Amino acid sequence: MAKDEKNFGALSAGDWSALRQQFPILRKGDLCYLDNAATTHKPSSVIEAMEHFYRAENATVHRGAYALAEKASLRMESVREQMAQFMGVESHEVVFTSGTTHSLNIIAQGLPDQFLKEGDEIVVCPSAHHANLIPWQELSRRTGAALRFLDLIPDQLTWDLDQAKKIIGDKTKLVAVAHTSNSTGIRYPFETLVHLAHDAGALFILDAAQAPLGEALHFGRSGVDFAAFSGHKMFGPTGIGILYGKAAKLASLRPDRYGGDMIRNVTFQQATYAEGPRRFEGGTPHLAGIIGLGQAIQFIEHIGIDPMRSRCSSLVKRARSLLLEDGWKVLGSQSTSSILSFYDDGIHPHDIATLLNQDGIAIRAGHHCAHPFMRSLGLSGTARLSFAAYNTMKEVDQLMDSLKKIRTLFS
Amino acid sequence: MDLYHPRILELSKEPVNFRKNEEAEFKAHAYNPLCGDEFTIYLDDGRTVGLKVSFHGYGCAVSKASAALLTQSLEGEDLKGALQKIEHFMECFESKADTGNADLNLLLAARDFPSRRSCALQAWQECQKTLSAIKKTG
Repeated sequence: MAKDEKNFGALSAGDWSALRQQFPILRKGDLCYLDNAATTHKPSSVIEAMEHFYRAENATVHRGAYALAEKASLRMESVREQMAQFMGVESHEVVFTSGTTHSLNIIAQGLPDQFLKEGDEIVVCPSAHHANLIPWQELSRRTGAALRFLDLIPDQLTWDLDQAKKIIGDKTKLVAVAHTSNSTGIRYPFETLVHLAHDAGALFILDAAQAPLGEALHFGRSGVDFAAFSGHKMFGPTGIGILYGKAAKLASLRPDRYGGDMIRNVTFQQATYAEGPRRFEGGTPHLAGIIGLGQAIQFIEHIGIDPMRSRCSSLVKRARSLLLEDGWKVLGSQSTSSILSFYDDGIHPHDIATLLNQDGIAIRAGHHCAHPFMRSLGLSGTARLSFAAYNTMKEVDQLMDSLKKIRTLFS
Repeated sequence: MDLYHPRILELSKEPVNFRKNEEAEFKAHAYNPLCGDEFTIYLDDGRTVGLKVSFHGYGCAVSKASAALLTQSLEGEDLKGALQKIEHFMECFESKADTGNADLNLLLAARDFPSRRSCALQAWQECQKTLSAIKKTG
């Protein structure tokens, strides 16, 4: 680990060119990667820590009495502590999962049977990623509780809080919304909904997939009951994610899988289950992923979330202004994150993405796993830019040059 | 090969047979869950004069041009002939063999773009399913 720390120890805040050099995939210089909302690239420190684990420290956790296994267990728990600090919560409220989708499904499938019944309501957002919609659709189908949707203010595409106040009430048992829309980049005022949900006696669940690089997380302070996000969107590895839950709320959930490592006592006829996060961590964890995630947190904290956010804001601001200047339509009246969605009625987003790819530019095109939302806007999809701190103004210019060629081709 | 050959762009901007025909005897629905593109292909069974085919919907330049070329290829064919045309195109697509039609050959470029293969193939695949079902029942 000392080697990894040295790797970015010389990196000073604001030295964006040096930051970019930390990412092996970007060093060659021919990739203009603007799809960071899908997944970010990984710095050397993350890659090397994972490789080092497999090369020198590999063992499973919580079950070996030998030094290697004990060390692996300590590493896992130290990352849990690190993650707890990163989120502003207690470590026994941090569950390692495979990612946002898994985390949200643990909640939706783990709520007690009596929690919802016919006549109850689940409040969700129309722009929800499928991962924060389908689990609630299924829960609604199983229990008879109805889904209710927040209204979005036309063009602005942020929440209509007056309508939210009207629909969140006695019947509401659960409010599940996103921190930031993955399709528009709008950062929602979720803190207001936490209060509305709690005043109504409802659970509040936050899809925080796009949050970790956008701002410091204060889940404890904001009062959310559950939050979910993935490691791979924050410079960490794929296959590892986080479920945060207030201790009492976590304890109320059924485990989503049963087996080794999540038990307290087992007889031939029955079993009792571990308390805290381990209740949801049956089986061998993705330990290399957890170690990589720990390194990703260190990397983020070393650079600082505020400078990264400020850098991404400048990139988005410039891209937005140039896109509008060139006649492209942009979703939402303002982008409050590193994500920006644009479109043109005469050019399909997939054609834009394929043609940009021919110029070495990677963007996402389509419905962004928010298909009902895109349909409600009368769109089959958009082209989406999403920046990370390693992106450059030069890349924005490269994008705009390429888009000009595309417009000419389709004119 | 260029996926965005001027002829493909031309066909996508002004596609032939791009019209609804709600009265059509059969409809094939091509939907791509990955991108949300959606086309309906309208097929009037041509027991005497051959198939009358049109399409309508929304999609990328490649899928629109491909659906237009599909309708053109099937026009006037009987069921058996239409299925043979579809199978021939799909075989040529996989093997990159000459289709015998300059416009259809342009669609073969999509084979080099794994994420865009379905744009070139979907309308053909759905039509094949629909026509096969008609042939079985009828």
